Amino acid sequence: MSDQNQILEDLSTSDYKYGFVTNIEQEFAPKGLSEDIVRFISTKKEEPEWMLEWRLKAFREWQKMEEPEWANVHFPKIDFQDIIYYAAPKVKKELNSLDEVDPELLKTFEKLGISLEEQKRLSGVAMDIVVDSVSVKTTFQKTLKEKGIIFCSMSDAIKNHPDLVKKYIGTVVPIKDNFFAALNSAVFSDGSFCYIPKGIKCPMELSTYFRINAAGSGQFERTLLVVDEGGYASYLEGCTAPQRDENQLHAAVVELVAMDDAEIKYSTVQNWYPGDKDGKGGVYNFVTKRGMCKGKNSKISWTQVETGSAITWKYPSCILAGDNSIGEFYSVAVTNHFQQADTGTKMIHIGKNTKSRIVSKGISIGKSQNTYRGLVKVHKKAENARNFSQCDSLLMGNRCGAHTFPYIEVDNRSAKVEHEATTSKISEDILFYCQQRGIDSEQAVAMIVNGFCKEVMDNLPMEFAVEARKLLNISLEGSVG
Amino acid sequence: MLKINNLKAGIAGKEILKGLNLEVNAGEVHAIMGPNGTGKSTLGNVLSGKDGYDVSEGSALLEGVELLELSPEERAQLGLFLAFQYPVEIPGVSNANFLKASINEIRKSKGQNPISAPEFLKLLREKMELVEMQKDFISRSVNVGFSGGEKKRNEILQMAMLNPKLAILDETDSGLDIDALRIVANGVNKLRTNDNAFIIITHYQRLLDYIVPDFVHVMYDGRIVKSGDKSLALELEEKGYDWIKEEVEAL
Amino acid sequence: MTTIIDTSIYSEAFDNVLNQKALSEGILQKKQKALQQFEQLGIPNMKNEEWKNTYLAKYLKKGFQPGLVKKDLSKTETIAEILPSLTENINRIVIIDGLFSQELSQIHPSIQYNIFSTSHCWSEDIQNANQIFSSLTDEKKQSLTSLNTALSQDGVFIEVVEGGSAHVELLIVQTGSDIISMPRNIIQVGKNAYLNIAEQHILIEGHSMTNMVAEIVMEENAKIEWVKIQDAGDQYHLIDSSYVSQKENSRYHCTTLSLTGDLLRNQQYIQIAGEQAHADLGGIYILENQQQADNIIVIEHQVPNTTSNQLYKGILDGSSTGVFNGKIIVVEDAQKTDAYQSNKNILLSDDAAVFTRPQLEIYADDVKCSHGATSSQIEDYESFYLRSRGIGKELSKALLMFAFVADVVEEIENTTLKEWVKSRISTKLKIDL
Repeated sequence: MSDQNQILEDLSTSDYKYGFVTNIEQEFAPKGLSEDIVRFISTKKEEPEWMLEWRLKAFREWQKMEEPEWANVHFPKIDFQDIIYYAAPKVKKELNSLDEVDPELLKTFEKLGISLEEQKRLSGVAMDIVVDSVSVKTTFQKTLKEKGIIFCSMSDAIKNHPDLVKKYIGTVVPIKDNFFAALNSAVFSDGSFCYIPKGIKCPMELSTYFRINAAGSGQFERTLLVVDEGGYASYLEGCTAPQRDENQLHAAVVELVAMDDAEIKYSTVQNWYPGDKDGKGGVYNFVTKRGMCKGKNSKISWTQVETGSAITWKYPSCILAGDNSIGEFYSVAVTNHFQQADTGTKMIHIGKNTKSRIVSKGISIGKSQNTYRGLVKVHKKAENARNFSQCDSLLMGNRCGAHTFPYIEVDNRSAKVEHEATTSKISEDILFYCQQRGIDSEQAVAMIVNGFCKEVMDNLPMEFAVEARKLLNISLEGSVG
Repeated sequence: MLKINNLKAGIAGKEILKGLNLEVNAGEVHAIMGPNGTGKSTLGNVLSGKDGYDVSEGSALLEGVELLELSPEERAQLGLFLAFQYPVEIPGVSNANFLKASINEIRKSKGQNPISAPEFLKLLREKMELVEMQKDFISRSVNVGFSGGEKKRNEILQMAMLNPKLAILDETDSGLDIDALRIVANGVNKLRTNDNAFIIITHYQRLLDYIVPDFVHVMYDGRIVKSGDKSLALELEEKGYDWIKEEVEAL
Repeated sequence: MTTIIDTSIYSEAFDNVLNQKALSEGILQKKQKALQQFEQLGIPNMKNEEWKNTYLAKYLKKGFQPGLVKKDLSKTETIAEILPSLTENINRIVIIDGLFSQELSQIHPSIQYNIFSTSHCWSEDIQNANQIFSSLTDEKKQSLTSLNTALSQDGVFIEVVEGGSAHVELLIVQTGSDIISMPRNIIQVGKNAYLNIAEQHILIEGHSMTNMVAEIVMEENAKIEWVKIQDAGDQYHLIDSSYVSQKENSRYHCTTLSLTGDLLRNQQYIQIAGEQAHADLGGIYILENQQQADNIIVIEHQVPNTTSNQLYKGILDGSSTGVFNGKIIVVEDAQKTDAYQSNKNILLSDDAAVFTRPQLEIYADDVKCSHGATSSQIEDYESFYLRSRGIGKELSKALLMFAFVADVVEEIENTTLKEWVKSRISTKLKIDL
């Protein structure tokens, strides 16, 4: 038993490996939020008038709203006037090759384990990189262009594809949806935009890397992904932030739209700085992610591995409007030290013969609190809806918490909805069995946790799975990096 | 007793029975054999009226009455019994209550009075002996916590209690050890009379060592493609089904 | 949707009720404090998480009001005729419109237990009853419970002494007045003592609303088996809240059978405060028409080595609604907790709806907690099995519904209570075996 305690002790004191600061020349907006700041951001980004109007509308709505308090997370009130809403690396002109990228930045990516060059060559992943609020580099543009695929930063999309942006932005997550979505709509500075035309299966993984760098700044990126009839896209999203003592705010919005027979696979590995082992610092991650299965036979699948952030508030959801559409949510959330996560999903069944599947694995370590919150709603007209949810929690250490709050609302008798959940600790029997077979306890714990998360990990694209597994082990292990 | 004429039926638009003919007379035992997926179980299900099957053509007369137009319970009340391959568990409903409900509904359909409690218990005890059921069986819930063998024995017990004219045994032998097999077969043999008939659906010849059939049919691709006496079963056991497939495909 | 209800009528009612009887200072203080708490909390609306799917104002608008209930002996004979026939050796407690009926109750004297009316406890200063009063409800901050604490005039106090046992039939009779009746019951089961209660509700005529609260204290090794049958017709409205505190090795088992009623809301707040203690909560709701049944359960495991089990099954027809809101809380260091909760529903009609929220809130690591919830229909293959045995469609369906809820019934240990529940379900489902 003492052996095990030692391991848990090690696990819960291991450090954040991505917490370095990059010294890149930055450009800031003054602290605080007002209509002037919204205008400043819009001007900085050389946006058209309609975009500014949209932002101002969102800002006015936001002013009327109150910060939500229902989530099972606790933190001091955020002073929204003490945040820098715009911080960008000083990029003088459009970059055409990697050689033109700030060498400091390139180093950053290498530290992150993502050499752009290598990524480009080996895995064929097209990547958009957002540092603080601005997209600095999108790779593989040419290859994608040949297929008619648009993959660019949100600012570029607003300039070059205004019709598409206008048509879809705010349709899945309306301005008024919630406090943080409204805030994001007012001040978002960049993000990724992607459009897959009819019948096109995107031949490579699309990827965005987000990094908060500047101190005292918030990151508000906005992602919009539209897959037209019969199209397919697999999208990867990675996040890191440097180690800082104060809390940084991240309030992103992701909107997905899948038309008839379209499929979107959206994977996230979230590793924002979680704060130190005393709970100091760390990112507040308040994200609204939602996918709309608009067309018949469409499918949206969310996979997330969440190991970072001091506080996570995030419910990637699917609105299953099209007949026969499918929504999936696979999640691993690890919390350590004083981290708090309140995460889960919403599956809204509206169309006929819609199906959803939820697999959520929560691991609580140290003094952290890990909450699953999910809604499965079957509307009256949603004939033959099917849902299966499995939520498992693993507790390591006796000062952490694991909570499960599923909401099931069924308004149609042909629905079949099943929810199962378990909470347990790593069984001493299994540990002993492993040890008896010569496996040391640290490795055994890693093995058991990996097994616990397998169903979710298996859903990640290959390139990502390796990295996610590494991250998972880092969150778990003390000595092994 | 049973006359099936050009029966065509399927599920979800896929035709499984493709024009099946079969005649069974009182006093006879017919075995239906054949490889997996040829429609053996479908035949049992369609005859007893399971939902989800579409009958597109043909007829199935039990003593001159068209079965295919009746509800499952009406067919059962006429004297058709299906021993399920996978019997259903009914928690909270005791075997005694279940059988009593069943017997009384059948009696009601014939205009008879419900069975009296002593009469029912006497009958149940007698039939329980036949399949060597433990005493506590009466109060246990239907099939709940039963082993595979117990479930199959329970099917035979129900058959004995309901005394059907025609019983279809759907792979009753699957998953049975040799003792259970003997008990099941023994039950069937004791219930055989000149007035009733049996259709035994099976994959293996093994059961037919114990229940000797008058006729053996081979089903393939939704039809009966070969019929013979019990020696056909032995031949199949020895040579497998491939030669039948070849014969059929050669046609 | 969120109608604001003026709470001043409640304060007025309070003055009326209090003027009627001399209460000791202690009781009076508790009642005043509760009224303040109620005024603070207000009538729950749908913004309140626990009332999200229950539109209480809709029911209150039918004319139900707080007020002073006056004893009306002229009805005693009529009521006597309606009551179920008396079983020997069982203590019958009859509560009419929230008032203990001395005339219709039959209590067999025994050294094993004491049964008094709550008003008697208050006026005669019965120490243990008065100590328990409001001790378990106070901090839970349930506004309707606070209202009961403030306005209740009577109820029953049952004390089973150490090593004793008592069998009780509890009849909650409503004559159909517009005044919301507020029975307040206090139960104390001593060391190694046993209590079983068969509770049912009877509505004489018209419509009525009952806001009943029980505080239940269980000493070491105590055991309670309680069956509640709610079948008083569709003009009946019930909010029934039980607050339980369990000491070492005690066993609390409560089974609720909700059959008819416009609103049947069952709230159980259980504190498991002694090691090896166990709570078992079962519920069956078989509903149709506009009926709504809520089951709100909060079980708090406060010490190590305790167990709990929640098993709720619902069958919903017509435009009925089923709400399940079950919560397991395992506090820090309550290791080796083993808790389970399950809510399964069958929807029989297009207009029925189910809202289920099984929740786990866990702050200790060495625990085994799990829950499950489902909503489905009766499976065709099950129904086919029965029909292939000659059993008609309707009876097949009824038998399968019976089978669906059977495990809740099977959990009841006391055979008399079990048979009672079984027969009521059979009657409801029109099964005659």
